[in-house]
This record gives sequence, structure tokens and C-alpha cells, in this order.
Amino acid sequence: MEALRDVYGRTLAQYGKDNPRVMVLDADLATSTKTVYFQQACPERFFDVGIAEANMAAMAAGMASAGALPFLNTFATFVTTIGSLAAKTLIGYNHLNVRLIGSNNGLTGGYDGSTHHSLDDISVMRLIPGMTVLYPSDACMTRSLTRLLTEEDLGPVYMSVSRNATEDLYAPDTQFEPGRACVLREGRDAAILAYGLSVGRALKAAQALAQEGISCRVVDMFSLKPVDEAAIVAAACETGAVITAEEQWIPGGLYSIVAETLLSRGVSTRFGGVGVTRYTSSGPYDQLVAHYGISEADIAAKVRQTLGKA
Amino acid sequence: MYDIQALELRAVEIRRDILELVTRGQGPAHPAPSLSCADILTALYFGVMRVDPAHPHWADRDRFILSKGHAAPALYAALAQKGYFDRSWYPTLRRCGSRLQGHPDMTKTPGVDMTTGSLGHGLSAGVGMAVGLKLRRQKANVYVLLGDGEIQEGIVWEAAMTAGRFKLDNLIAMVDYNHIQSSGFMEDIMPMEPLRTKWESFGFHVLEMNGHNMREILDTLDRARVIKGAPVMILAHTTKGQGVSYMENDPSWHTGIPTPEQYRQAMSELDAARDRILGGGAR
Repeated sequence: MEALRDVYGRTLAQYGKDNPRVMVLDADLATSTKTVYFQQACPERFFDVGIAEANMAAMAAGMASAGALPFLNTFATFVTTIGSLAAKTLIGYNHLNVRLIGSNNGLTGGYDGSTHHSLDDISVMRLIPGMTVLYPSDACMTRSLTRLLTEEDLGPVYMSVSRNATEDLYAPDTQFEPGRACVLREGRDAAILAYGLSVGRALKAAQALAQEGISCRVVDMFSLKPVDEAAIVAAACETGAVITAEEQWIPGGLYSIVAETLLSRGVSTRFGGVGVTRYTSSGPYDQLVAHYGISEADIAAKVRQTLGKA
Repeated sequence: MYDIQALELRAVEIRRDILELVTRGQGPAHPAPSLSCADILTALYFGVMRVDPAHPHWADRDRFILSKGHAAPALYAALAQKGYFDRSWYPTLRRCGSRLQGHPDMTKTPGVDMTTGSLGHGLSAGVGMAVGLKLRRQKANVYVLLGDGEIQEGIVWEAAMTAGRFKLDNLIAMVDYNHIQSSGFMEDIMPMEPLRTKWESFGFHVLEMNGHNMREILDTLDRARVIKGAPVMILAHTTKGQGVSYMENDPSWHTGIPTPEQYRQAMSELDAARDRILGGGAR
């Protein structure tokens, strides 16, 4: 299995090469973000700007204003902190065609520890008016969305990319559309809404719960913005219980998005969520997922608790 | 090739319009920072820059970024006089829904090439523009005007490092060096000298000029445009509030609204400046 960051990097090189407007910026992390593949394919359109993320983000705005389609790359936690002023004030406010790519998302920075984990990228980026926010869950989706970003003028887009590999969830060549969630499993007792690597864990939780007679729908909410409100409402109305699963600090992420959506639509439902609530530690990814309470077992337990079957 | 007298007269008109804007607009704008760069903006828009007000998005146009975005009235005055929009917009400055926002906004005001206001970010945006234009083989220069206090922002030096690294000779940056920042004199708050060697050490070709001497400004910009292989930094020695006696070198005029009496005094001083230019005397 190929790591999603490699899938991103190879796809960017493959399709970005053919679009002369695509310019790639990196802040001394090309071998980690995997923009190194584009660097090798198109050295004249690749710019390593050094360890200067704020400058990189503002530069991308300038490039876009001159007609380019810039992809800026660094770890997700730096895009949404050091790069966020330009993301908000230049890229978002001017609605420029910039791609902000946050690599090593969630806890996938593993051993690097809390300073390199990104647990707020969804909540930060979705606040910016007009910003599309994507968080692919497997290789097929990463490939499809990356290609889309090299070809279409979508205005500003943030995409969060995992450092890790994961099992395939979709058939090759599946097409994805921002704003349209994907139902991966049908179910009648509860719906688990997830994104990123949490989707695979949600499917495993649903399989385990099925053994206990609990039938769960699993929805991939890879498009956090625009969000598929109809899919959220349907999940609540058709199953009566919604559980969010995310590799993110809970305030501001999918838990908040679902709560905002249902309350504003006047839909009431049983509701629960798993996510991270603390600063995190160094460690192997799988151990961190279990330690911070976002594993498939934690998701299953939250479903049982929400249904009153704990 | 330049009609110096006509440009000097134009600079007086731009100063008059700055007074008009900061007096008729809503809320306190930034008079003295605007007056400080009025001659430079005149030289750019009416002398050296290749722009076409009828086609503000022309791909090959020269770009100007007012990185010290709070001097927006100076930019609005230059753009209106150049023909990008009508001077009747002036009283809408800073009003809710106005096309003349408190700081320059590329989505609302024709002729504004980059939204600014968050200090420090204009040079980075200019570096990105210069790279983008070079790669797309567009023969356009990017001019960026920074405030002297503004260069205390760390991102400015990230941008400087990058411009030097990529030898962006289509980038001409300038510092409006009037020695006064928002809350007082730079030398008291955070001195930045030696400026020349700082910029040189980042790979810039550094020029200096009197930012209120029209002939010197034009000569310096002409020299800057033909320098190859390095970005250019022009240190423009200026006076904050230049042209209105009670604002000159007074930090309190960083922001403010002239009273009717102050407005009349400023306009009569500018009338006298115009008469001096027409009379051929020294300013």
C-alpha cells in the first residue's frame, strides 16, 4: 500500500506537469510532503522557499494574482498556524486560486510529537469564507481530488493529507465531488460520520457492531466544506443516532459541523462523537490512535453509549 | 523625457486629493503616511509604470503593491487621477460597502493589484507575483512600497531572502523612510539601521533617493529598471506628512481627521506649493 502523501505527490507530478499554470511551493519538506516528485518532473516550476511558511503563503497569493495555480506545501500544523494570516487575508479574502496542502495530518506525524500533530486544521480552515476544505480517506480519493485540484479553478482549497497508507475504500477511478459525501455502508440503527483515516476505523467499528445486532451507516465526510448537509440530515432522520469520528480536536471539527447543521435545521437526534481532547504525545501512530480514544473500539463504544447499550 | 514640472504639479493634486479623502471619508484615515509617499506614487503612476486604466487586469501591466496599506488615500488619489475610477467616490472612503476600503482591496477597487493592510505581507506577495510573471514570460515589473516601521515584521526578511535567492530583477521594492511609525519615532521604538547593508546582505541592489525630489525619484526608478540579476531596494528618504506643515514630522498625524480650519490651511499651503512650481521657484 502506498502512503497517501506519496499518492498525492505522484499525482501532483503526473497532472501538474501538463498544466503550465501549476507552480509548487515547499518549505524545505519536499521529501516529506512528496512534492519531490513534482520537483523532479518540473524543476522550473518548483520553488523551495526555505523554512519560511508565512512568506510561502503570501507568495502563493501573489503567484495566483499573476495567473498561476500555486500549490503550497508543508505540514498541516504549519499551514494553519504560520500560514494562516495569508490564508485568511490574502488567499481567502481575495478568493485566489491557491491550493494549501497540509501534510502529516492528524496524528500521522506520530513520533514527532505534539508540535508536529495537526488537530485543528479543519476548524481553522473552514472558518475562512469561500475556502473549500477536503480531507481524503484513501489512495483512490487522494488521487482523484489531487487531479481535480490541478485541473479546475475552484478558488482557494485546503486539502489535508495523511502521512500514512490505509486500506482501499473505493474502486479505482471513482470520482468525487466537493460537497457530496459518500455512503460506504448502509445501516438503520445509527450513522457514523467520519473523514480521513477515521473512515476505515468507522467501517471496522460498524462490522463489529453488526455482530452485536447494531446496524450502522458509515458516511465519508471528506468534503468538510462545502459540507453535504443533506447527508447529515438524512443520517439523523433515517437512523435516529449520529456519531462523528475524527482525528481532530473536537471543538470546531466534524462534531461541531454536524451539531451546527442539525440544530439550524431543527433536527433532533441522539448524538455523540469521538475525537482528541488533549495535547498529544510522541509515539507510533496506532498506539496514539488508541491512547487518545479515536480507535475503532472507541468508535464502537461511542455508538453503544449513544444508543444506550453501553 | 519626463515633464518634471507637470509631474510636480500632479503630486500637488494628489496631495490635495489625499486631504479631500481623509477629510470627507468616514472615520480617521492615515493622512501623514499618505503624504509621505505622494511623490513616489506620482512618479510611478504618471511616469514609469506601464498601466492602462481602461484595462486594469491587462496581463502585461506593471504591478504596484502598497505594502504599507494604511497609506491607501495616496493610492486612491493616484488611481482616480489616472482614470481608474471617478473622484466622486472619495466621500465613500471607509464607509460600509464602499469600493474604497480602509486598506487597499483588489476585489473592490479598480487598479489595486494586491490587497494589503496586514503589514509585512506585501513584499511576499510581490515576490510571488514576480516569480509568476517571470515564469509566464510577461515583461512586467513589480513595484512594492514598504513602510519603514513595517520592515520590523519578520516576514519581510523571509521575502527579502527569497527575492535574493531567486534573483528577481523584475522586483523593485522601496522603503518609505520617514523614521516615524504608528506610535512614535522608529529610533525610539525599534531602530532598523543599518538599512543599506541589511538589504545588500539579502542580495538586493540598493539605491537611495530623496523621496520628494521628482527628478531624483524618476532617475532612480529608471536606474532600478535596468538592473539585471538582482532585486532592487530603493531607500526613499522622506518626511512623514510632507507638504502640510503642521503634519510634517508629527507622529500624532499617523491617523486623524483634519478640522475644517486645518483642512483650509492645508489646502492653502498646497495652493502656494502649486504657485511656486508654476513660478519656477524652488519648492
